[in-house]
Amino acid sequence: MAGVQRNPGSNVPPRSPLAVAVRRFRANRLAVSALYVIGALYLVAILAPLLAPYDPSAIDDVLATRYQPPSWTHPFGTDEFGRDLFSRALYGARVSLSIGFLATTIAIGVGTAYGAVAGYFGGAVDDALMRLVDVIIAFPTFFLMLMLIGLFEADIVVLVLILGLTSWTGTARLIRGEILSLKARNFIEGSRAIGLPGALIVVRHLIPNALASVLVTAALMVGGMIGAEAGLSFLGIGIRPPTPSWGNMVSAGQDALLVAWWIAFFPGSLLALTILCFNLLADGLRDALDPKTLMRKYV
Amino acid sequence: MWRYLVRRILQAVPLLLGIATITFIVVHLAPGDPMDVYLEERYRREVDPQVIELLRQKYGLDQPLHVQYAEWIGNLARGDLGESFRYRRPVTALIAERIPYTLQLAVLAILVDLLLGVSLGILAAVKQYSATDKTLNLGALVVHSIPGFWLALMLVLLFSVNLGWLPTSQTRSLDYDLLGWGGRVLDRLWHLVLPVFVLGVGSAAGTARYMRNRLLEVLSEEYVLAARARGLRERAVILRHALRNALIPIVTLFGMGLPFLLGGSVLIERVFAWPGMGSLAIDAIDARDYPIILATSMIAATLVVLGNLLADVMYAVIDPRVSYDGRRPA
Repeated sequence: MAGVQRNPGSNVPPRSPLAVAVRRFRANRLAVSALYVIGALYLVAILAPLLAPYDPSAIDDVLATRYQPPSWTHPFGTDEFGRDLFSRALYGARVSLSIGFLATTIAIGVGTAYGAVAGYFGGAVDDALMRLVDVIIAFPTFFLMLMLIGLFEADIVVLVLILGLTSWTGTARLIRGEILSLKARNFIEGSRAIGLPGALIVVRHLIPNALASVLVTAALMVGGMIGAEAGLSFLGIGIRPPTPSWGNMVSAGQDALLVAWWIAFFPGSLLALTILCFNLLADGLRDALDPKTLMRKYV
Repeated sequence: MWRYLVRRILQAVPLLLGIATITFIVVHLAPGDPMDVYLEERYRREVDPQVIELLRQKYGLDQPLHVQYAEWIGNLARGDLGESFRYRRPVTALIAERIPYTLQLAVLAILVDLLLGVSLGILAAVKQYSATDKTLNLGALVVHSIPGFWLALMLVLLFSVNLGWLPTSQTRSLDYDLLGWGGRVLDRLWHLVLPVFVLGVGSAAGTARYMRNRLLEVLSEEYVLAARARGLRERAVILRHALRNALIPIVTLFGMGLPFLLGGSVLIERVFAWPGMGSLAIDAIDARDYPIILATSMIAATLVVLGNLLADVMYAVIDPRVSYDGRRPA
């Protein structure tokens, strides 16, 4: 119950749930700053070719340019081949951020559709669909990704597909639960009573009402996906060099840890910062969208 | 209770069979021939096709897939996990060598997780909205966000490379065999500090946040109000009345956490050159060593199923309100 703010004076006009949520979110300074940082990171990723001072894969005189510590000319230093790590980190941002976003879109899309169908139809359909979820959930997700990506020697498209298609089960369970509880509410019964077709009820009423939890899950998941991709690339089976990704840059940094700490340090810091921002965003969204307190005035 | 347990175990059988089937299909659908990988690695040159054919026959790879599947499932049911293509040894023996190393990491990490997570969670909840609470909450989120493998590298850089306090990798020192009994134990522990810390602290961050929210929920219950109304000291209210109930879902985390720690330890094992299950699985994937891939997948999945079962059973043991016999005590 903490954090509930009742309107002082009942003559204040009621605001829509969305307006309440936006107002609450904006009051959370950490979450708002996280959103700005995420925006900036995506902007940098999109503009990487314009911002990068060097070609990320250009190799010059290796012996003269390799293992240079951070300086004004090379803010993140250079790697074992003398490549500029700042430029590589910018291009790595493109890989990491787009994989995080695309894989999450797939997972959330599949999970939402699957959970909605299971929850709406219920009964035997629900039983059959959720049995498959039980089977997939019984694998530790990271292990499943590892096995699939390792065995299929995935390129970036397949990698995104595998990340997305191994991570939708949690969302499916969540949405199914939400739909099951929403189904019992009066407004759904009303929609049925006036003869709305089932698909319309799912798309117009059930999914929007479950959207709050979907948004929070999605924000958390982008961070998780970026972390998973980094982990897989660190193991050498995700994004393979010479394409830079933050994960394989850390991996290269491990080999040179004794001579050049900066190779592993900077891409790893960017990873941690990005994942932290998505977690802060998810926290802010969760507090702002909490239906228990958001809908209080309307129920 | 017993009927419930038997039912759950019986339910787990078709689930595990489904998992086994999917794993088998995935492994055999994947491109790459295990014999090619294995021979190339061993001899580094072209091998007579007849030899390859003989090897394929030896390992049954020349049989149609459904025959291979039936044989594998049959052996699995008898506890026979087959023989590794690469090491030419029974998979059970290989796993028996590796599993103690992974279990050491996992069990100690869970201990660190629970001790740190539960106590910091209590601290944050008791001082809700204070500076301590806010710092702990943010700190937990930060730690939770740092990729474990990178944190491990940075700690190696600081404590092993720069300060020289801790070993950089491996499970024991080079002079291990020269040490006495006590020295050996210390040496092992010495090598466990960094990997256990990284694994444990990573999951403790999640536990602490969870514990805080649970305890706050419980503290708003009426029986806590009643305990306060009876004039009990705050300490007694928290430790005797609130904490017991707040701890119940933590056992769920414990049951479900083990397989996740095993997954996470794949990365940590790589950083510290730790000879556990994770590195066995990764090497097997690279080499298309089907029997090992299948075995490690089955073990991982079985652990998840068992972990869930364990969590539910512990729930019933600890929480008198939960009954699995259909009778609901008032």
